[in-house]
Amino acid sequence: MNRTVTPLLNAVRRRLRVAWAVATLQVVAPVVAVIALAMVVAGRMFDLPASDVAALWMVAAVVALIAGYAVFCKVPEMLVARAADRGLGTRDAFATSLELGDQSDDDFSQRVQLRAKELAAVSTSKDAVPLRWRRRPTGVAMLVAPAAIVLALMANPQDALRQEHARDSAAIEATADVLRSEADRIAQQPEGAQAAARLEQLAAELEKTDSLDKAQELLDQAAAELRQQIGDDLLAKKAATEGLQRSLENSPLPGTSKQEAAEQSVQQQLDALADELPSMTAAEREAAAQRLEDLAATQEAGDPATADALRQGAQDLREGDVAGAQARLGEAGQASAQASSEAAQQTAASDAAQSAANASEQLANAGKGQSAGQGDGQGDGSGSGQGDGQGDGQGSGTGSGQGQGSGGAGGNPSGPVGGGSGSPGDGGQGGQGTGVGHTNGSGGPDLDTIYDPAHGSGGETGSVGGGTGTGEGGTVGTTNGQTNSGSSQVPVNDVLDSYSRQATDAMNNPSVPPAIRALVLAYFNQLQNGRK
Amino acid sequence: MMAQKLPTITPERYAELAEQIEREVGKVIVGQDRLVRTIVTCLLAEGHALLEGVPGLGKTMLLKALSQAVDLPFSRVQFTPDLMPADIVGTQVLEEDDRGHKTFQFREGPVFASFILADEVNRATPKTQSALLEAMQERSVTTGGITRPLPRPFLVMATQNPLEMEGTYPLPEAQLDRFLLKAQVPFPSAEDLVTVLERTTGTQSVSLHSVADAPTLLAMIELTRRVPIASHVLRHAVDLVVATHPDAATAPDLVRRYVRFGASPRGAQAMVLAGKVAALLDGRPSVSIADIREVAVAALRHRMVVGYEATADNIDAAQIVDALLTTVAEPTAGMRGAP
Repeated sequence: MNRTVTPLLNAVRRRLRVAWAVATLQVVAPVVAVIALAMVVAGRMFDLPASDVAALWMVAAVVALIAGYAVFCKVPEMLVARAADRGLGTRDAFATSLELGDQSDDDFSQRVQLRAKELAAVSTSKDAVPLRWRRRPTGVAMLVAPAAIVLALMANPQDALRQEHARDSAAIEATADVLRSEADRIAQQPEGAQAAARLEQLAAELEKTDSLDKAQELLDQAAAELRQQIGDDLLAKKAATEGLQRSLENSPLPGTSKQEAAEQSVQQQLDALADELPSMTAAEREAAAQRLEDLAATQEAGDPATADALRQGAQDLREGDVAGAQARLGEAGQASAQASSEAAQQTAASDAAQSAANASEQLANAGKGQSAGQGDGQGDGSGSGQGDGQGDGQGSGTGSGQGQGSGGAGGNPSGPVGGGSGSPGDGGQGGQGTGVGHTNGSGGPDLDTIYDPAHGSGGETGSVGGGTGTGEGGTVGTTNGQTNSGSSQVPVNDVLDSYSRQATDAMNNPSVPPAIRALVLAYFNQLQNGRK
Repeated sequence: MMAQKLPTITPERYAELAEQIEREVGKVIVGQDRLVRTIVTCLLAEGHALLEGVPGLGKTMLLKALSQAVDLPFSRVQFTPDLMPADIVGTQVLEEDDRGHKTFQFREGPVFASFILADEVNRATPKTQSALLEAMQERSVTTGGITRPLPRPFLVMATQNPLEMEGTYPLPEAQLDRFLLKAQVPFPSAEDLVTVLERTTGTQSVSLHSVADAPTLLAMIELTRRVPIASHVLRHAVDLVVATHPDAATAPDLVRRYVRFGASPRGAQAMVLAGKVAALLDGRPSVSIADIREVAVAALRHRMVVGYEATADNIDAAQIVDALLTTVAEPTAGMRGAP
């Protein structure tokens, strides 16, 4: 090839790359613009969070591809020469020159080369390859592309929906975390492994769902399932077993020292008593029999099997049947151990059920907070209280209840779990209180406020208390109280002293069994310690 | 024939001589520049021309003027139904010499001239037509077992009268294929006709000068064949010929509907040779695609066999070639955005 022609052909080659890119863009631009517009519109009609970004990336990718190909594509020299010939109207001078080459000595070849050289000297690449703009595709692209951009810059109604979904997911995730921490706590309780495992499983199931309703459904199902594991006599059984343990700690049986009693189980102490019986005097045996009868009386309601064994043991002891008494004491120890285990399992299940219920409520409040945050900011709630009581077999019962409520919160929904913040319950429809009274003082997770019917104003206060005990001595009373004012929620510290005093006074009643007395006092001691 | 040394002709001289020849012919042929260019092209490409036009348009005068301009013998044969092959190629006659010996001597026919006007060639019988066309192709005549070469340059210009078709013998396709180009002889414009009348009805006579001779013309013919042509230009000529075939994928709709048989490879050869002449006459040392397309109509229209549907629809071969040129467009560089 004539070297004097090469610069022109190189310039034409560069110009061809630009012309190709421009022409290709004009072909592709309307299609890309329409697709981008469709993606942006789709992002506003459906929950496609990445549609705008994807449209932007698509446009960028197409432009990059075209530019890249234009830069790196191979443009053969003959193609360049023919393009120059066509653009300049040189009647195939460059292409023929390129094909013939400059090696031939033929006169015509030299003339061809000379002609190409002369034409190259007076030609430019711009003349050879003019850039052409096609009106229709360019016009379509110029119309559609700005529309897509404007639409992309406008507010997307799907954003709120996506934020709501994100809040739901965050709330569900936070709930799962709470459930896991609850599972860890319950796992440390006696016989709490099974209930903890169920909470762990529930947390895992929650993480797989992204629907608040579905999560609540799972939580409610789990709570119901766990509640089925709780016997009706849980509190009585718990009071009986724990009362028996404390009674023996405070006043050990013969054969066990005070220090040993603090460390030994009921069964161990009964076994120690059985071992001691043969060496006891008649007076000591009578005192032991009386003690066994007293203990049996405290177990009637919650642990009848232990009570029967203790009573039989006392009777055998009075009748001088030491061996029979020893056997009965062994049975009583086993029954007490089994009752204690069952109570612990059910307590763990109860705690797990309550955790699930609390989590469900938390999710519900999260949803309400979101909607309230978008609306009028009013909260609503309802109160419920559960009381339990244990009768003494005389037909009278006492009940203790604890209500815990959290006001439906309106206001800013931007919290991590969507929970609203604001004036809790005050001036609203009333706080929602849920709580389970536990005789061992393990109340709800949050003791900052407490449901106190006496502080309700203008509303119907809920009555919380134990039902009348049956002949067997124990009932569990449950009542739901509907309040009309959020002021029924009071800080627990404000009322704890009063409650403790009232409870202590009530415990002075001689009809209260020692075990119950100790349990109630321990409960309020624990609350006092928690306040400190 | 002994090989004679030809003068050296440069492309510039080539173009100059051709222009002089056209100018001399143009002195007597008014307003037929395109026709003159076609005849000169055939002469320099060493081909033959087929003219089609009504009588009285100067076809005979054209060839006569050309023979004078290049100083070569000219003969005219009026083809009639009773014309015999021997009337064209010559015949053996019995002659007696001074000593009384009688021998057969070959008496050359009019075909032995350099320029032959075969007037109304379609009026002769196919046998007589074949004699002429064989001579055109072989550039030699065989009689009595002896082959006699025809002179070079050798140009036959045959005419057909498109009006009086009664009692004619239209040239078969194979014979038409032997003509390099076919030209229509248009009726002159009014201005040109006035000039013709002025020149032919007065007392003044136009004297033509000889601007070339046979060796010069042969040198020009040799130079024509040396003109280079790029492969993509050749390919375009082939594409055009292929597209004249109705079963070709690139054939335009008009070809598919009206053409029964497409052009032969001679069509492509004719376009290339004529293109080379066109390039030289334009002062260029190589053939371009434009040259090929410029001669496409003259080179292809008599080589396509059109069906009766074309006649019924008043479509002639030239229109079909025009459609062909539109469909088989000048090839682009093959890249989007390129011219």
